[in-house]
Amino acid sequence: MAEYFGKRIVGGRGEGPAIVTRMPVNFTAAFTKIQNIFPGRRAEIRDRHHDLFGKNIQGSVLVFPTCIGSTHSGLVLLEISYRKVAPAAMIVRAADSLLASGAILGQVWYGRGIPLIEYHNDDFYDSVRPGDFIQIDGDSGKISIL
Amino acid sequence: MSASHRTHIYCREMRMKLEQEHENVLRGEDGEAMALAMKTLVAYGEAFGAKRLVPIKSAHLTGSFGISPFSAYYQILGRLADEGAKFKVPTTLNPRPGRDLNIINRLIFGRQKRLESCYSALGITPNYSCVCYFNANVPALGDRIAWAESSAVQYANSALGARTNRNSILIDVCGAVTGLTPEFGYLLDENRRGRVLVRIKIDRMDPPALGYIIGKTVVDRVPVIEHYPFSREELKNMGGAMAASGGVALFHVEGVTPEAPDMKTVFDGSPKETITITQADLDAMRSKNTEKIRHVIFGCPQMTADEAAALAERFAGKKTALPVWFCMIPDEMKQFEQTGLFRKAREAGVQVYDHCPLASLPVRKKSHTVLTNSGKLYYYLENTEYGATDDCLRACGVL
Repeated sequence: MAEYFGKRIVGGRGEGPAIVTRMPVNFTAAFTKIQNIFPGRRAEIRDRHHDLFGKNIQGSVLVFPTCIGSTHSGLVLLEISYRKVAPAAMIVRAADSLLASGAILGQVWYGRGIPLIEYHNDDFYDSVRPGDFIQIDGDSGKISIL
Repeated sequence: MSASHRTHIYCREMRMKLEQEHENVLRGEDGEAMALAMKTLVAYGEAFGAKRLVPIKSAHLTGSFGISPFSAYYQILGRLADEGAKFKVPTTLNPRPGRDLNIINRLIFGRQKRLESCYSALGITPNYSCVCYFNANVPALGDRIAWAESSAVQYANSALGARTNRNSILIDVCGAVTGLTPEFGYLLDENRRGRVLVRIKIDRMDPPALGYIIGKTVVDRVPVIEHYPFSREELKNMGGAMAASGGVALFHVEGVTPEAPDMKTVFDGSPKETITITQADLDAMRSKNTEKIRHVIFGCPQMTADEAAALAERFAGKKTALPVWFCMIPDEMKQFEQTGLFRKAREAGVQVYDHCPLASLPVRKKSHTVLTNSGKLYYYLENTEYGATDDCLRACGVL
């Protein structure tokens, strides 16, 4: 087991299999497509510019560099939290205002936030592999790869 | 659990210093939804180490589409309106989504009327445009504001020198009903300086393509572009692209934007990193598959009357071979409709709308490939190709 300590952005605990990308995520482009808004309501990334195209991120620990694009990001993250199809947690190299907002909104308004840790160093990103089982404690900033 | 209990627990953990009147709102004096709005701003600020909430001059909201399959945002807005909350600062709103274009849009945007009456109860300025910053809501240099809409945030920060973070949907509403925003990020001098120098080796300027490439390359750092005499519309279109392919909240143009009188000032020294963008980079963005194009769209961010007039000249006396849309700022569309060029554009087959093409177009036939000179629309809309303005006119058969 390997442990890393990052910075708490949004507290809470979460665990799940890692989904890892080196590309920034545009949540609006990813989740405002027909596949996500019509019945079935999956949390599948539908941004054709992205290497996670077609991946369902529900219940995962999503590992990515940063969040880009539209200020609708919060609508999408709030909605997937509200519907209980959000990632179990997120680990990001640089937390921007939109990603943090999205993770916070569900917590404040519905008691269902997405724990979010900011971690800068290469060591974690070099060792984490897609599918690794990860536990995070958003309050202390601890990341454990089991 | 009652809101007051929840906020009580929260207060004990809180590190941000609040004014007494804001503490009272947090305790629930103005109602439960207002307490949660205040709590949202505190949690948002604390995530970024903000020490205080500061007053804002205005807000701009992005949530103008009443999207039926989404619910949480609309519930929250309804709670605020039902409690009698009012926007405390002038607050403008993004474009309408083109609900009445077809039956499927009417289904997808089924919440539109209820949403608009909610905003009206809260006290919205009904400009219905992402381009609020030319007329409806114009901040001054140094004003602290709390805007959403990535392209508007970027114009306000970059071209006007106002100060706003990239606020998410709902964070923008919490700012508007409280008149406050947490002080961090782009509100502070140290985060507004240039980070990356962008050298341009370009013969035929194409601002949206340049913006798209800059956004993709610098992601969320502050770029400073070498001097080029961009018009306000070019800054708008370049910025819209930069905030879609990247997360750029602020850019500078040497000698053009207000915080970049010269390179030394804007970098507070010299740049740590330099990138060069060439004509070949811009040309690589342009569609090579123009024979598949079935629809040409102009206006994302929405067009001004000047932009529409300049394009209409190119259509005058001709007939477009493909459906073509101009998507315009509603107030500017009213001006344009009074002109002879509007009539000529209509005779050429141009359809002129005041809604958002990004919201209105996702439902269309898969074979229905769109060509646009908008770097932003190109990023977001599936099955879309990018073209310089002349490429778009060629596809319409008028050039």
